[in-house]
Amino acid sequence: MNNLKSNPDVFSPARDYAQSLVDDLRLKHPPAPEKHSLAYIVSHPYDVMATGSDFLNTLISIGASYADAIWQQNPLTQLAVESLETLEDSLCSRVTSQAWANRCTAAFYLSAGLTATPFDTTLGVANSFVVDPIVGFLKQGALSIETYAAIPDLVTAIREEGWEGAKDFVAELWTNRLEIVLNDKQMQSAFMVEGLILLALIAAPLAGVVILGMTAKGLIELDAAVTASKNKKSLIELVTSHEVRTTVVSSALILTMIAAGASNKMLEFRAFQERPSPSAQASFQTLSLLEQTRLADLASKMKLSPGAMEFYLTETARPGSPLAELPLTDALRVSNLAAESGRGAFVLDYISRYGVDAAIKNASPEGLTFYLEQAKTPGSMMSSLTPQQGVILSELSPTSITKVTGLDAAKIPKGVTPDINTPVLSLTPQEVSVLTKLSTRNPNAEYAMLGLWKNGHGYTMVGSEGYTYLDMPEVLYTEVFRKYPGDFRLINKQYLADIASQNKPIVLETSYSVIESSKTTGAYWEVFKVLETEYNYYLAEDVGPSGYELLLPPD
Amino acid sequence: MVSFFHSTLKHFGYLVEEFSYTVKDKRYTANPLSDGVIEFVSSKTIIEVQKDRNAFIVSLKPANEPEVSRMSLPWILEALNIKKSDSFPGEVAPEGYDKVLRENAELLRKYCLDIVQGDFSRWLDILQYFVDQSKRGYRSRTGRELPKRVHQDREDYIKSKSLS
Repeated sequence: MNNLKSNPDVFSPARDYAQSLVDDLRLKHPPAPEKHSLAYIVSHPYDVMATGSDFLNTLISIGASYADAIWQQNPLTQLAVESLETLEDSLCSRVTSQAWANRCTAAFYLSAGLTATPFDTTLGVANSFVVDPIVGFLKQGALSIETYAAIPDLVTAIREEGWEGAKDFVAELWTNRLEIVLNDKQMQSAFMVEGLILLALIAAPLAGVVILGMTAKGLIELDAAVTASKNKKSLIELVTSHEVRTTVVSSALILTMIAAGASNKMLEFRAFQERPSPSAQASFQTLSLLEQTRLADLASKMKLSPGAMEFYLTETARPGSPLAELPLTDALRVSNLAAESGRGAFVLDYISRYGVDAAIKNASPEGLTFYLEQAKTPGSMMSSLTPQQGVILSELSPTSITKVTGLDAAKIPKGVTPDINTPVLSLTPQEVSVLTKLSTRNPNAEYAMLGLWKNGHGYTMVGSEGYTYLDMPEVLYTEVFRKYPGDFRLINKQYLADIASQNKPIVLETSYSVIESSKTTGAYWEVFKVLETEYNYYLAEDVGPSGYELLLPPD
Repeated sequence: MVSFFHSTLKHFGYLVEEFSYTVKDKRYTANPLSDGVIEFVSSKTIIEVQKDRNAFIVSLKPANEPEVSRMSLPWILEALNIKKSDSFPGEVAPEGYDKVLRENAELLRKYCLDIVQGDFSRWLDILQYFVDQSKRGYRSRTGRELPKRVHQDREDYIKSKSLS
């Protein structure tokens, strides 16, 4: 306060700076009354946004420069700046090499500049990291709207001058847009951020390398400018300028973040290396560094438990292990299931027999443990399932398995009679989906098969020749779903939805004429009420494979 | 739990007792709930009661005539302008088997006694009604024409019987 009283020109540099900013703003966006009309604002959103952001930036920059002016009156700040300048004078003058003398001076004066102008520097860094990309993104949107709004003019150009006119119009529009982008740092900043995000989505480490490269390039260029400075005055002006302060602080921030990330990864990797048992660690050490890194990275991404890693490393070290033949992701997923369920032997036997199929990929450790426990009891429903059926069922939680297999009696509300229109088991979509998978035979066949159950040939019998068909495990149907036709119909409908979603042609085991003659009994509802009406299936003009009638999906 | 075989004999038993039909058990297994067909045969008429999991289909045909002359009970009733769709619910839970079989047996007795007794004078009209409705229904469901071959045999049969 005393400084302000004794020196009325304290704000003089800030005032001059503010004036120069206002002049720049006026030059860039000269006041024009026509730009204040609503019609102009609506038809030129980019211009409005550019003017608005520049205006706001000018205001904030002026505020920052006044804040710095006040900050510089602090005796401690003055002392710090003076000390740095004195140190520079005493130390850097002793350096004989011009380049290193310049670097020495730059280091002290840059520190002094940062100490004296924290608000302006912070503003600059915030602009480059946050404000510019966001405003640039908004400007991209505004420019897109303007471009879209130019379509009627394009139509007019085509009408009046034909395709030549259209070509000229598009070329002119393109040149204009390119010029805007090349002169707008905020839009460039947004493009850069978008590009980096895209790159990070494809290959995160590559994006990191690009950022690191750009930062290093900026610093190298700065170093070149510093060492090439001819005199101390121009050097001080350079290193205390807004751009250099902002570049240095931004670069320091980026490098700190990269270093923190890298050291964090390194710590994770070290911890990962030390977690498994000595034998597993030994197995890990036999891998190349690239394989070790990939394994550690994937294990971290998949949030693999230490037990799963232990299982993977121990098992893959065993000669002839089926796990060693699998792609890493599958092998880790299988290891996780084996470790979490505590059923490693079953899991390994399963993948040797059936490979890593969808069932084992989707099985939950709790579900698998529960299924295998239940299957131990001779004569139980679970014991009659095939391993593949059991593993499909294991996608569900133990509670769900208990419910859908009737281990717990269904809780049917009083007064409700289960019938075709009244499901009573309150099956969840996941339960219906799993039961449908459990009941779908030959899911990858080219054709599906429909008809009566075992009528004559019966679709369950013809289907076994290599068609996709619905056949719930008999014990599950007999014990549970025969009593609840409404619930079974949900599964049947899901099966039809799955078939239709694959555009799979459907072979009819019974002739269409016989199907039609049975229609009003409610039989073949799949054809009349679902396939033909909901999924637009239709009857092929010619008969299909082996002389069966064929329903085709819509063209 | 009601046995398909016993329930069918109980409700369609009048065919045997009053109209001298004989019974042929064509179920797939001896299990009471087994799917399959129970056939009632007289010198002039064959009546089939078919069970397929939870669905039942009752159909009739003149004896000594080809399969294309077979028609299901619901279509026969519809052709005779008798609306009884509630009696044909499609699939039912085992508790509903007996009721469905009883209703089918009653409808057969009430509306098709002439056919049961071997009078097929309305039969060709019933078959023709089915063919026409089938084509119309397919067109309304799919917006396409039903391929000719689907009912060709049945139409040929109707034609040949009309001429004779």
